[in-house]
Amino acid sequence: MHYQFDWSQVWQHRDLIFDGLLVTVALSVASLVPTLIIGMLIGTLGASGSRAARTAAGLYVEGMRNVPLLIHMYVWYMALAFLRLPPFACAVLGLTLYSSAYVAELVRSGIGAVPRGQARAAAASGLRPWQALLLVVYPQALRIIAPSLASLASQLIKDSSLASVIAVAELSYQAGAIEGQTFRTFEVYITIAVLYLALVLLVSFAIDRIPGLRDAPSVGRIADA
Amino acid sequence: MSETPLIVLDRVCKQYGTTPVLRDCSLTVARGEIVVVCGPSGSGKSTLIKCINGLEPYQSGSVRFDGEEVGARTTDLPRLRSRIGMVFQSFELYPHMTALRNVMLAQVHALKRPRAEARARSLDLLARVGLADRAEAYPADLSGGQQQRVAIARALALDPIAMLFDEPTSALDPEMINEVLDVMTGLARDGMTMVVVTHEMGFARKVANRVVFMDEGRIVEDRPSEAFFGAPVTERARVFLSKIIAH
Ligand SMILES: Nc1ncnc2c1ncn2[C@@H]1O[C@H](COP(=O)(O)OP(=O)(O)O)[C@@H](O)[C@H]1O
Ligand SMILES: [Mg+2]
Repeated sequence: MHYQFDWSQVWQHRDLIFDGLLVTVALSVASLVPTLIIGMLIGTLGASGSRAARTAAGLYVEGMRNVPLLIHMYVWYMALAFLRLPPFACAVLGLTLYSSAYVAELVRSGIGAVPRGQARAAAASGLRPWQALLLVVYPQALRIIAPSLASLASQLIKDSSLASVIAVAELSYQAGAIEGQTFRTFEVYITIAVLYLALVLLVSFAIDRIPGLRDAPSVGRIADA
Repeated sequence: MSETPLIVLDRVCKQYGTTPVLRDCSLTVARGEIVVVCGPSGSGKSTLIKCINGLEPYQSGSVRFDGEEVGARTTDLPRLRSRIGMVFQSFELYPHMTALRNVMLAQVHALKRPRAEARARSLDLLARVGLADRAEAYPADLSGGQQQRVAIARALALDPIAMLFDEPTSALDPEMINEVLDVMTGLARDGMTMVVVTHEMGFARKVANRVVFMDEGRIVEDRPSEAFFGAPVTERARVFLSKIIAH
């Protein structure tokens, strides 16, 4: 085995790689925002006192996360063909539906980890249920799930590579295109691997800096009596 | 209006599934009155006082607070609850907020008090419970007794017309019990209407007007405290008293 690395070919196509990187970032951000919102809503329903709400949330979670993301991509691309949506929108939809199921489970467990007495104390002081949720329960639940939420965000960035199968010109798609022209397989994929790594590290770094999450006072406390 | 009793429970029944937890409980608390509720564990004391501010739904009977039916569909429960302070056995301070923010929260969001006013009021109340210098501390950095005093300040911040206490000293180390009981005694002196679930019989003897004894979901005795401590009528109460006083 004797392989001559040749990075010049990658460098020549840097504009394609850069475009792909931008699309990956755009796809991740466009999916992450609705993922968090839907995950929060479904997760809250899943933790609610209403049996019907819990069942509905459970069905959503199981339905969405038990279908492979690759299939999500194809299904939404085909199913919505009549709408003539751009592939980017279909990828956002697939990524959002799939990832929000994981976020929902996380949010549900986070809410479950906040002692019931907390919401009760908030209610007893005259706060309305949505105020108790927003001011007392969510802040504690978010601190509990912050590390797992960060890794879900990283997961979503990596998962966005599957959008290449429906011809979204993101990083992996461009890599495939450049590789097809240059046959510089190693150089191309090492380059985009480094770019994915950089993106993910950037996100974890950013989440780590969110005030209040890192240096929060301990939420560990005596058991609910 | 002020002549009507503040709290009236009339034949309240509650069950979990088929297990009865409250059976025909009737209780009247006049304004300024201090009622101690005691009884064995599981006898329904917590459930009873949580019916007063609508934290526990009940199946039949009626609960009135200041003339308003707690269980009625039309009752604005959050508004009603903001007129009743409640203190829990496990404190339930919000761990992600400082003592000061704990005391401010419901003032700002339930009573819609301006922040500056809520802040000033909170600092006053923290001083009143002897914690002026701990305003910026987080609950995790306070002792149990200090946490419970913050919780009392938080309840008082609503300017409640009644206070409910559910075993406020049961989770405390013995040396911290008195600092909490002293605050409660002070409140009683100031004329606050109080319903206190407690096994602190010294406090009951000194402060309570009446003692209610519960057993298996029933109110089995409800008498002026001197009479209750003088000679409980029922055998159950006698046995219960001899057990906890022996400790
Ligand atoms: N969520 C619940 N589900 C079923 N049973 C309950 C629940 N909460 C309380 N109970 C039961 O109701 C009874 C009264 O409880 P509680 O009011 O907490 O008693 P106490 O405060 O006097 O110890 C107990 O037997 C308890 O087991
Ligand atoms: Mg109890």
